[in-house]
Amino acid sequence: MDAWLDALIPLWLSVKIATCATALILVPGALTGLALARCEFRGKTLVETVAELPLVLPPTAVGFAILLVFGRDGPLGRETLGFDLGLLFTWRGAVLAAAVMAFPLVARTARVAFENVDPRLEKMAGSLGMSRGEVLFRITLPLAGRGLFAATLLGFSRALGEFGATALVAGSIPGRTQTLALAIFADIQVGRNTRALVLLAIAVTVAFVAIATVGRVSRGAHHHGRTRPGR
Amino acid sequence: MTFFDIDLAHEANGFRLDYRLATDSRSVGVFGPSGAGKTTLLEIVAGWRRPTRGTIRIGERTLFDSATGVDVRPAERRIGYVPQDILLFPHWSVLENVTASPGSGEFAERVLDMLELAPLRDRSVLDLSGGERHRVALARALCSEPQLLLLDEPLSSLDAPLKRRILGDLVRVQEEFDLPMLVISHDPTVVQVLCHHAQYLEAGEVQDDGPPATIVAGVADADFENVVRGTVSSVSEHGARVMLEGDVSLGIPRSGLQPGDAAILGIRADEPMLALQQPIALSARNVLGATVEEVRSSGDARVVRVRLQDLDADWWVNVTDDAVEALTLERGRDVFVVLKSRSIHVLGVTSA
Repeated sequence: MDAWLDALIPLWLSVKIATCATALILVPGALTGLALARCEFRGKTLVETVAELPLVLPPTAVGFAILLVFGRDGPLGRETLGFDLGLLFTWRGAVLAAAVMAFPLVARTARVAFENVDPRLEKMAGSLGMSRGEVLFRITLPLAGRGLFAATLLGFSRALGEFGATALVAGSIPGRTQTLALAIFADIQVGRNTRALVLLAIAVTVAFVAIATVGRVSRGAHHHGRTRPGR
Repeated sequence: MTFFDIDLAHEANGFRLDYRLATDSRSVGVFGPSGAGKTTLLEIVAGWRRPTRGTIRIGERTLFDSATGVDVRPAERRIGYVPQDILLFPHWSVLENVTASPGSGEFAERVLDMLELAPLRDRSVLDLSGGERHRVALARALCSEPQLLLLDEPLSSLDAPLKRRILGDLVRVQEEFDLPMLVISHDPTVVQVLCHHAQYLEAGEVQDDGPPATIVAGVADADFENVVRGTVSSVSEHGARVMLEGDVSLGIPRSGLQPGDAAILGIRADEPMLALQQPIALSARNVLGATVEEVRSSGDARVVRVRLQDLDADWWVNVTDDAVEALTLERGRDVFVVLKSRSIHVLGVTSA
């Protein structure tokens, strides 16, 4: 029983950090997805590449890069700014690391969600006299809604499982920055296998629910957004 | 006054459209085969595509002028567009679609009633049949209170009874709202019924320009439908009589007509018979004198163009090779066109 109660703290931290990270990247991720799906602009390939970089880079490399930027002498460090942002080795630092790692997944899924909305529906809305804002909020966003929900859930799941970057940026301080992923690693290191097993069971349950939900929502999205293609 | 004044060029993906239209007619049909550039043209007029150069003037409004940099936004063009793929908003009900245009609430009731959509108002558009979807798209376009209606293949993918229904709706809309139309279609009947001026567009260029019946005559075949307009002069329990130009009248089934109604009638090319002498004691109610103008092959059959005496119109009649030979049908031959009342279909009616 103790092992279960003990496991609730890393679970709570994980959920808190993943929720904050998802909230942080949802709007920028959706806007990036919208721009990549709908706009042609100079440097689009560069934006695409930068947005997807954390997906390809080892998480520890991303963590190290964050440390360089926010470290004492970094461009956003205490020495440069004249004050401390208070990110490193705090739960807020873990939010930042998780957000950076989850961003590509949110932007990419949002892009697919917007691409699945027939742009001719938006043109039709324009011809009916709707302003650009009305087209976005009455047509595009509702039709991309399921896909955007899937993007949110995938981003949340990625943030929940974040390990490498978080370990470097926030450390693994029990009760403060030690998330589910970090706690499993720490328990295995010191041979606390029972607690590690409990944490594993929790992680599997959370991941299972998230993936199943995304699957259901995505299947619905394909039936909703696109009408018959134009001829 | 020139109502439609369009002169534009558009080039995209290796396809070039060179289009010109200058007419005082307020309902124009652009007729032509698939891939001629018809949909591209409508999307340019709607403002969905920007032409490479040119001008688009409709009535007194300039919508586009590359020389002066005028390019009115689609939302401000006041154009109702019914595209071929309908493009209803799939997440909304019928009523929400019809009132999609800001400020269209009050007008919507009238349009819903006219197109008999009121009972469907709360239904999701995903649950509608093909014909219902067409009517909702038309209602939505009308509710934006447009100054021009663009129709892209308005009857495609509908079966015959539905085609007649939607065509009848369009005739009523045209009459009731006095709405200018630019209609593109590869269906000769649509162009003849809805338009007073037509063009033949092929491979991105206007090949011919003139009265609808003349423009569509190039494709007249056994399935061709002759279209005539007239006024219902009398209605009895046996049928109705429709006066055409030149004191020619046709007996047709009653079809719910009232005296004074303006009727558009369709006569398929394979319905009339030709005779060399005026038939007597015949059950068919319509016998019209005519002269053969042209005999054309159409697959296994022949189509004969006859000029109706007293009526400034040509009809196409489908006959067999045997008949052409036996009656020695050739240009200049006088014939009688024999037509049963039931062979005449009412395509559109507007009340007196």
